[in-house]
Amino acid sequence: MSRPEEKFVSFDIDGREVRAPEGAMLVDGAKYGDVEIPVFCYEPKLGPPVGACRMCLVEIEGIPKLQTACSTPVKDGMVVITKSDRVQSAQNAVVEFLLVNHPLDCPVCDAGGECPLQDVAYGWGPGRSRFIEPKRHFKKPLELSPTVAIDRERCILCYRCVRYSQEIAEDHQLVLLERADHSFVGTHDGAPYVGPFSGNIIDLCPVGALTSVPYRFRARPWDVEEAGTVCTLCPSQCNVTLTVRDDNKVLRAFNRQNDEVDDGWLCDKGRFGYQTIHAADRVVHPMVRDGGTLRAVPWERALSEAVAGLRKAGAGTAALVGGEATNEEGFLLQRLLREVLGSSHVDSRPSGRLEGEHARVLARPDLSARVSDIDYADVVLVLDAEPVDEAAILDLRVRKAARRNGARVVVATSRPSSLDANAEAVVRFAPGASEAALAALGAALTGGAGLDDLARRAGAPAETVRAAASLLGAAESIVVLWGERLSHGARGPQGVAALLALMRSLDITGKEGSGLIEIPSSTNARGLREVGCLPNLGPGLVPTAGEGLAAADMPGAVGEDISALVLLQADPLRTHPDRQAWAAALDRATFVVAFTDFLGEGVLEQADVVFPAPSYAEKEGTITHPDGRLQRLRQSIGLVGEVRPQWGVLAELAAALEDKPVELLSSPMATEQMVAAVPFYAGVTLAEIGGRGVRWQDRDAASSLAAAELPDGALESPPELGDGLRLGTVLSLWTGKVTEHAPVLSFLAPQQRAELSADDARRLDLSPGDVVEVGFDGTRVRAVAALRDAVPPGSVFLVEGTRTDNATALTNGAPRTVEITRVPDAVAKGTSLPLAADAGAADASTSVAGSAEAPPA
Amino acid sequence: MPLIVDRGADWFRSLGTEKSAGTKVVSVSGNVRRPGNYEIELGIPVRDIIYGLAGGLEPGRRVKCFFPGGSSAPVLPGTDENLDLPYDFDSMAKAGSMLGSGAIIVIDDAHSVVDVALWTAEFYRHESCGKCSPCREGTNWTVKMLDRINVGEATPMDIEVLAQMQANIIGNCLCVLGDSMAMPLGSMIEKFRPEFEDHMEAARQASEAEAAAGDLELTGSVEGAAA
Repeated sequence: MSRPEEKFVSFDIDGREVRAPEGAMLVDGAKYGDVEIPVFCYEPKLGPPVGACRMCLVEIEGIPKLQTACSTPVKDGMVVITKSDRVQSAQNAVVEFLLVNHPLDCPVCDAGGECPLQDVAYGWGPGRSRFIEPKRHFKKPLELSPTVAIDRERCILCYRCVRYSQEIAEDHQLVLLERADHSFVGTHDGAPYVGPFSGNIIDLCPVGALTSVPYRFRARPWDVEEAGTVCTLCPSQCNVTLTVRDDNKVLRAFNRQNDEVDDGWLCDKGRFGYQTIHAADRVVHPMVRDGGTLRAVPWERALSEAVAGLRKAGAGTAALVGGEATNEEGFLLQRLLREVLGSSHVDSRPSGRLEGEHARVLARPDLSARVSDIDYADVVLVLDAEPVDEAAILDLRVRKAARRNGARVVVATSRPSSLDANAEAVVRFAPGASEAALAALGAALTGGAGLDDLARRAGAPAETVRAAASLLGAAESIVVLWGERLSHGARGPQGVAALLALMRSLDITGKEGSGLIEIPSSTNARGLREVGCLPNLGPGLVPTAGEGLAAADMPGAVGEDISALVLLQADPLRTHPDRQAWAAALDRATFVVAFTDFLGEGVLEQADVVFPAPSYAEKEGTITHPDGRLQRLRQSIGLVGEVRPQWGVLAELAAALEDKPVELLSSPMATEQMVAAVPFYAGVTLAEIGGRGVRWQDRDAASSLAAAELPDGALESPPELGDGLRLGTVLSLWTGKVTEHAPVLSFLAPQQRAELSADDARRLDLSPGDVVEVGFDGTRVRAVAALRDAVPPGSVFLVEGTRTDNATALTNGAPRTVEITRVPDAVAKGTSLPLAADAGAADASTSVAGSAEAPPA
Repeated sequence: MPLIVDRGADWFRSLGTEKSAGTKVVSVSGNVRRPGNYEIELGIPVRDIIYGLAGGLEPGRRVKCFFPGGSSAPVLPGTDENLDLPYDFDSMAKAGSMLGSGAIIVIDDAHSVVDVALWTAEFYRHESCGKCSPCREGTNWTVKMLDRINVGEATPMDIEVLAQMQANIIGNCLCVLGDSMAMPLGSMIEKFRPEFEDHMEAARQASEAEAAAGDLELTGSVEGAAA
């Protein structure tokens, strides 16, 4: 469906004429006339209204009974009365009914002071209670999950959380059990409610029935302040509000609705990951290696050692930039390398090389979709990416498009996707064969010549490719969510070429509301590329005179062309392919400077100077959303410990290396310099970015990006698939610091799992839960075998970025075949991996929600 | 049905009254000697159904009230005036009730109207799905209040609250289940308020006497009221 046009109608509310969008529910329409109608169950984010709570009853002329304003659309000429005695008496009645079984324990309730039930009871209630019978009782509070506590006595049964679970997250875990006044919210079998988005029910709950376990009893609303910023824990870049106490402690994070980014939702990583900010083992002092170990030192010492080391290395310095770095930080670092040290070895991508021409085509405004285009797309193509793990909130967006607007979802991935169930066509290709899969889709769209051969090279049945292509070909609008991984590895450029060729065959630039949205491998990947953190492209995607080494080529050059490494919030041992090569490179490097918030093993053992990195709550600056939206990070708390702003440290290093005074005095100055260097950002100010962000493609300066043409040359023939069991590596939402340093999320820490098909498991004589070794030659990682029905025979999947047994030990960007062997039980018991009883089950939680006890008769 | 097909609509319309044409199968239950389903011509007096077809009440009993159309219909007291009403849609509506499903439930004067109210409320509390607030909480509160009247812990004010609560339920629910309890309950209170008051007072005195006579055994309901 196409984006609906807004048409206004006028209606009369409480004697005033008000204009509101046609079709808007009365509750929303009334707001155009500054009339507030109280609600509990109504929440437009949850889809169609249900009219359950009856709080919003109003009088409408010509209809004898009172009507629920939440489910009655505004019509032209409608006459609505919200303040008559009749309406008031109904409102009083509903409030009285809702309070019948509510414990009124506001003084000890977390929601007290920010509770819609309090507000509505105060504004629209009778002001007194006539109920003196015993209230219903439940055992409370119970852990609905390790992150959410449930108090069933406070629950007013508004159904919001249940609708959320059923219709937004589509995890179908929460249900209303029993009926009448003994109904209660729970899960089918009393199992914990665990899912990537479970915490949203805390925000949705209009009373204090669902509360955050880590926030319980930590503060009252009048003790805290709220600070708006952007979460940088994944590329979704959801807008968040941080609850801050005493200007120095983040106590909570919740969504700050921005329909162009997050649609009002937040994943649990973003919601609870704030605990990492105040983790006890966070790096909050500068450190230098002294006698073999890292020791906290004053800033002056750390800075002078860094300056000395970098000066010595000069053009032999290489830098990796991690996705949590801001545009300003990335810009300043690449300038430090290029202009001060004379090196172009800077990369923000973990693998592969992005051709300059490709980068500029991919940045074309007419080729890029905005996030909200997903809502109205005819077809959403999910290509070599798993949104729920890589940019979580987009998963909900795709589900919404399919459920509410009838978008047809096409999934083309190696690993079975959580969106398969919503998809009308699924192309399952062999791990690493995305280039061939794209070429096959292209062939199917353009007459089918060579399709069978290409499908064979992709390891995908040709008929699935045909089915997907026919959906794509017939679509009037298409949004493509493509995973950066298809551009990784030695054949990355060919992968991008195949993607662009497919876009050309789809004529995507000529279709309204269509385009690409990249799902990058790190948060600010797009911004970092645009400000010059690529070895071949400077700020503004402009080719540089000398081309530096890409990340994948750096390890080999350490000891020759490269002697010093700068890691700006990057940990190559975690996130980059070819872990052994990076481990050896860090060891060989004469000088390593790391900006980091936690000591990863590489930093711990190899860094010579460590600068403490500020968290997103401490940063000021900008980042760029994968759809081109510049967003603003606002400093929400004071810098923790000895932490200094990272832009300032980079500026100071540059100045010291040049023996000049520091000229960069503030973060806005850094933003200004960055903006001035990127032609298509020209003129963007922090004020213009504001709290909602601005897409640079929507500004006039976008035209300064030289229009690069979609390449139309013939594609290279993709390589043949190798024989044997093909290894696919995938990202997990739960790897990394959030599960390692945020206590409330530690129960989700993934252990290495080898997902394989039942056929392969039978052939290899493996059962779920067996400890296995996956690898080739002498290189192996341990994993727990997990069977998954939808995994095609011949593929096995491991997770990248786990704390132990990281799959990156087995990857180098090229397709890889592996062997799997079972580890004898006796040996396995002595390893770091616990023997999982059922590795096929969802990541186990440590705690169990009890089922409700029946209320006393 | 075969008769209608055979003799035509006009014949069927010639039966009954002008606005309630034809016949209806009524289901008579409660305190009658021959409960059962009877096909009647609409418009015959209620008395003919209860005393004629259903065999009347046990000797010595009179009709205290009756539900003219299922347990969700407001009750009508068993006055001569009401018993002489023609059983058709219009007349029942005019009398403040409804013909509804045609299920006539007869209550004789051996039963307390408070008990009838409680049975009715308990049925609807059980049937409530719990989705909308007025029905979920209203049916539950009504039952609790009637229980309290029964154990002698209510005051005349409670009867007023009970009556207002029924008014607060009617018309404010998502479906008509809540109304189905509130309409008969409201009518019982309206039409038999003195009996509610007497019942309450009698229960209160009984409970006080029990407390005074006994060894002050606190009952669960006292604890309940305190909670």
